[in-house]
Amino acid sequence: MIRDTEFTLLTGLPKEAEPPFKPIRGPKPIDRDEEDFEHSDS
Amino acid sequence: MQLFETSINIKGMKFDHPFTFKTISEMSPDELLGCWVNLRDDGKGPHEWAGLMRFYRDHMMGARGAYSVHGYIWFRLRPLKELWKAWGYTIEPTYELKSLKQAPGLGLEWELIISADTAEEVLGEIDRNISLAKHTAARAITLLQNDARRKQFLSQGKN
Repeated sequence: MIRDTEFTLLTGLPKEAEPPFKPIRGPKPIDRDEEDFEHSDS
Repeated sequence: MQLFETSINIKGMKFDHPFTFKTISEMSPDELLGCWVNLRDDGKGPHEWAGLMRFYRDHMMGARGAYSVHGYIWFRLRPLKELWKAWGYTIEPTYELKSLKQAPGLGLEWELIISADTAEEVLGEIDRNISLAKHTAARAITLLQNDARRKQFLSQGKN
């Protein structure tokens, strides 16, 4: 039986090597109130 | 003391890993089962694997206890400038790889601590962890190559 096991990354790559991905965000939602919808219908 | 690696370089080990060397030197022959070390480094390749582990048995209340291992695994890399050049890129990096904490050089480094009822279980766990390290190292090389390719591409775009 394994009693204890630890495997720790002490030194990794510098953060500069990580890809500069940014989270993809959709378009900002447009705030519309009831009045806007009424105008758009007319 | 049994040597699992016949090419052990005691002088190199004493110089590069003085604390481990001291620990092993002071251990009782009843406790120390062996030491595996691989410090062969011709310094020519862009990267290399190295490891240092000591195998011992814990003593509990005078009885022999678990089989244990404590060690380090290193994926030692040449400086990033040399790596990128070896991969065919002409640009120079604006950052450097991290220095290893428990050995000379740059690259990736893991600490390994295992304790088990049998030697076979310990060896199996070492094998499993080395596989994990190889997977991480392969991903690291891919990231470094992608970064070099991206920066080379951006550099050409500017010119």
